[in-house]
Amino acid sequence: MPDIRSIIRRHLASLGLSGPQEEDIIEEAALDLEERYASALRDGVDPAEARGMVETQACQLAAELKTTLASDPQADTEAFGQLSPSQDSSSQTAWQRLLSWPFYLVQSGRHAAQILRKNLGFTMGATAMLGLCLGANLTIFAVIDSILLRPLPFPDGDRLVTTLHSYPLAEIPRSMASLPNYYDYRREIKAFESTAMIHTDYSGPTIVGGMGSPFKVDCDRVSPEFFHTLGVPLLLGRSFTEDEMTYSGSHVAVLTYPFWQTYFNGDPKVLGRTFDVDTVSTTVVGVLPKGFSYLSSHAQFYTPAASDPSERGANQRHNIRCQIIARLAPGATRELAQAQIATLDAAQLVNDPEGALIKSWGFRTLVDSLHGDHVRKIRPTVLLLQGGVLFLLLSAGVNLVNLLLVRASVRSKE
Amino acid sequence: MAPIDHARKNGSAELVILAQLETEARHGYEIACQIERRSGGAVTFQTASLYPVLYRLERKGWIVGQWVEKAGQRRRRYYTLTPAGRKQLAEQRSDWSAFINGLRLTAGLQDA
Repeated sequence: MPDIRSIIRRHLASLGLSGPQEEDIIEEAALDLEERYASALRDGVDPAEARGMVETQACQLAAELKTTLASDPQADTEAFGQLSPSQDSSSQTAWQRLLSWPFYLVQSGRHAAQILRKNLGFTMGATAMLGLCLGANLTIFAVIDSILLRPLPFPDGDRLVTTLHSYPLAEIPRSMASLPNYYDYRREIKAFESTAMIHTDYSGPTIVGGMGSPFKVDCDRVSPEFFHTLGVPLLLGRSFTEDEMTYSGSHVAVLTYPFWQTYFNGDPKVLGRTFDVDTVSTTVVGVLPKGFSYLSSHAQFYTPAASDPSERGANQRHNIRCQIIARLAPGATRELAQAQIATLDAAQLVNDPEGALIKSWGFRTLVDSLHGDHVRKIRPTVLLLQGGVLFLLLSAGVNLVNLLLVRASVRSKE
Repeated sequence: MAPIDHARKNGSAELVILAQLETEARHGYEIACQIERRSGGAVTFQTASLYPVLYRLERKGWIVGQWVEKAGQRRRRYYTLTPAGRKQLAEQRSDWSAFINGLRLTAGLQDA
């Protein structure tokens, strides 16, 4: 037997009857038509013809009810037989409409579920397609959120900046800074509350341990203010001193929490203990709090960014081998810092023997947000990916609509 | 017997349906079967024509529909004649009797 209720429901849909009223009519008419359908089959009528009779009756019922509604638009809604369209504002108060929408929602949902169940293959295909597209979108958005949208995991992370050398006429639009820059900025640039640097030349893998059990871990060489600039207080001990910024005094280390736990078994008396770094005995002077990590660095411990006076001279100002980070002073802006550095650069270029050459490269110093600089390279890729998956979702939606239209056109005669 | 045409049936539909409920409550399909049987197949009500009339009669307060569940059966909506409906049935019977009598006299109708 055909799904007579669905047939009637489909024909009555255009009348806009109220939910309970429509359900009662559908149930009553369905019982009637089911009996007539069964009777017709008993009389030897072909099932297709009997189904046609059902369709015709359902269609005519809707037309007759429409006429009944049109003939008495003021009909009372109290009784079942007193039909009125649910959209008729003259017979339904706003309050009644408000109360009845959850019912319509449930009813529509139930109806939709029935139809979807009947077309299980189509439903599963469409759901899988949309699910995949939504999943891809969510995944990429999660990446965007964690990389681009969330601030750096440091207190007032938006006040952290980095300085970059730019030589646009030499086709070097952005490069790192130099060791002399660090010493100059921390002395001259008042817009910076605190200035620090990482010596990128010497940061990277080191061999830890003595004979027989060495292993390789990453180590970053940083200036004494590095942790203070990031706003991260040490869990134990202290940061480095100026005296330790020389090659002879730099055999000290600040450990990350995981390295302290694994290599020193979380020894609370670790300060003063030594371990071998590239065969040199190094003394532990501090331990970082749990969860600390600097951008995408995998450093397990930090040592001083040692240098000698010859590396800090004026002739080394464009020997780019450091990343400088700074925390803006209260009230200071990146523009102010940029202006102060520009003034400093101009003064230094006057006395620089290679000043004319540097100028010919269009040299200037950029002050960028630390976060912005960190994600600058990956930002276009991630945004492109997000655009791609959004387009995929859009395509899936359009294809699904097309598919539904094709299916609807097949039933247009009905 | 050939079915009576649509226009004539429509004019008398209320009377015919009210009459089926005079002695007992009936559901829609039962009313339709009763009419077909009693008329010898001359008067039939399809689903599309029966229920709008039932709803109209109910709206007028001449009949009352009520869902009833009986053991072992699906619930059905049974219609009962109201006092107003009973009065209306009597009036319509009287009117139609006078009309048919007039037809008999003027159009040479014979008793079936």
